[in-house]
Amino acid sequence: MTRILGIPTGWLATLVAAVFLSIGIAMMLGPELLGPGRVLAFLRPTANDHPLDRLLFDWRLPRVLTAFLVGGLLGAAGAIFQGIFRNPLADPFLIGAAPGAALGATLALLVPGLAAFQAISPLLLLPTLSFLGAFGATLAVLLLARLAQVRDTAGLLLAGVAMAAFLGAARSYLMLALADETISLQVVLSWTLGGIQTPFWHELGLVALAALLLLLMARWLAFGLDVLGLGDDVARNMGLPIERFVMIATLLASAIVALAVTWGGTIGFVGLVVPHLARWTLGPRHAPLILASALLGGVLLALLDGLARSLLPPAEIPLGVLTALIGAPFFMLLLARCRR
Amino acid sequence: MTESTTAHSPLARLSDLRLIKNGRPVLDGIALDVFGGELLALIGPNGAGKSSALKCLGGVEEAWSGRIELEGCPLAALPKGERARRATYLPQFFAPHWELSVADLLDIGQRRGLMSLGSSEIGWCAPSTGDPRARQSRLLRDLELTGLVDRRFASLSGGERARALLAQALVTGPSLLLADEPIASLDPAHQLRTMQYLRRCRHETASLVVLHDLNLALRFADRIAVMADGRMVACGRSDEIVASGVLTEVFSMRFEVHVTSWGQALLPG
Repeated sequence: MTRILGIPTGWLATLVAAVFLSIGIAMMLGPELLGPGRVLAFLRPTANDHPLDRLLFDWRLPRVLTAFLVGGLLGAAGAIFQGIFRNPLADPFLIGAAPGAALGATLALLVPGLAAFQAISPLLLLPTLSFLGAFGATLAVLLLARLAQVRDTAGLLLAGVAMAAFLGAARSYLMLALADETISLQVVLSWTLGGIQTPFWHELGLVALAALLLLLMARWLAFGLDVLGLGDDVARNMGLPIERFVMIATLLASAIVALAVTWGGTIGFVGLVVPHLARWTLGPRHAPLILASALLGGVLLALLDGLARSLLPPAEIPLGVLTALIGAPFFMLLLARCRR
Repeated sequence: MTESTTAHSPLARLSDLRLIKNGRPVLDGIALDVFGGELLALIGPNGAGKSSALKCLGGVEEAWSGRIELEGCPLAALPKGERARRATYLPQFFAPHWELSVADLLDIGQRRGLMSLGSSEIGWCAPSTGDPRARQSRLLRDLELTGLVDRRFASLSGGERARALLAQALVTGPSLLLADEPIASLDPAHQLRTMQYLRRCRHETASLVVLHDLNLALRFADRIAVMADGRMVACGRSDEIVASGVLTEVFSMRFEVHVTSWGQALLPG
């Protein structure tokens, strides 16, 4: 069986086809459904300046691509976190990383001094604080678990759940305490439920570049995650500096989550469901797993975001609501499978 | 391995090795030489510190004091990856967290020591020591794993798992194997075959093996090291150990010595 980037060629081809297909379908979805012919016409580089083309180009395409990127980041982050925690139930939202990122972002949006700074450099402050929040939360979970001498990964996961609950509550409190008439809670709230932002094209370029870099770095960590999964003793014997490795992997996964949260708010369950689907088809080795999770996560979120835009026009369903509707039952299924 | 190291200087040397865990001395100044080309059995009652000694040598325990040398080089001075490729450790209990196949295990084992972050060894490519594929298939054949390559580890029987793990530990051809009761879960036939295999490949990979079966130790080991209460009590050839009566003392029980076609055997008396 020939493999490209660790993935059997057939599967990779299927995934890539799914990527293009999902982006195409997502372009058709919206308050008003477009036929495939309309979308294809948009792709053809002709000189007809249909006003709809402008709209598609300026608004819908960046939105679809951002949804794809956010989904890809969440899928990859899920795979990495599951590798770090050595538990298939670890998810950026269950273990505190995403709530941490959300807390950081809330601070950026609501704290008066910071909010002013945010107005000046929106591309810097929000991602930085999200990242610090995600990293701090995950690190706190890992350190607390070590202090409490939690040995099994289930205990670690529970510590994460407690952390996630605490951070969520802290954020709700901050929102109530800091919001005034100058700041619209609507923005913060819609963010809580998850929803893809529509960036300008130059912003999208930066996000895509950052996502690509982060994914490349994740691939570099993949073998270490494989080794980590053999247990501490064997990993140490194999030469993996466990503490340092976990720290670096956590840093990277947090950066990935922060980027996703910055552009998509808190969207749960993608990071949980997607690596599972990938693992079922491709096995547990992390190099193909992270890549496939990224592609699959992108496909899933591009489609779901399309649905979110088109199910209840003119309103938009918060994306986090849709992912939870699909993800939560899946999570139950997973629990049942793990028990067996 | 060069001739000079096999002839005189030990492959691994522990001296005044101490390890304290939870305020209790687990290893209380042990000394042991492991020579190239030998199968050295480490025996002793539960809690004697056998596993801990193995873990220190394998880089699993890091908080020890004293001196450990591997192929003449202080363990602390060896890069982690280098140490990992010279001495492989096979734990007593081992279950991968993911549903790896036997092929996955071998592939990961093949690249051991190549992911030390912050050093020059970063695992982009497999090392080029001989032909890894030929080595792998020989190992699979010798350990009766050929038909099981694509099976998930969790779906294997206890004996198949033990052999798959042994294959993973040996796949890079390390100079020293540190095996903690590698045959505990095997049926008698596979116990014999595994010990025969370790003995057969000891010139390439010397073994320091923790064993609870005294008779297998007597039969297959070149030398036997006896530990009790964190100390090294005796070390020598099988007949010397049996003659010294140290086993009776250490295990607080009497043994009857029987002479069999392959040497001395012990029965609880």
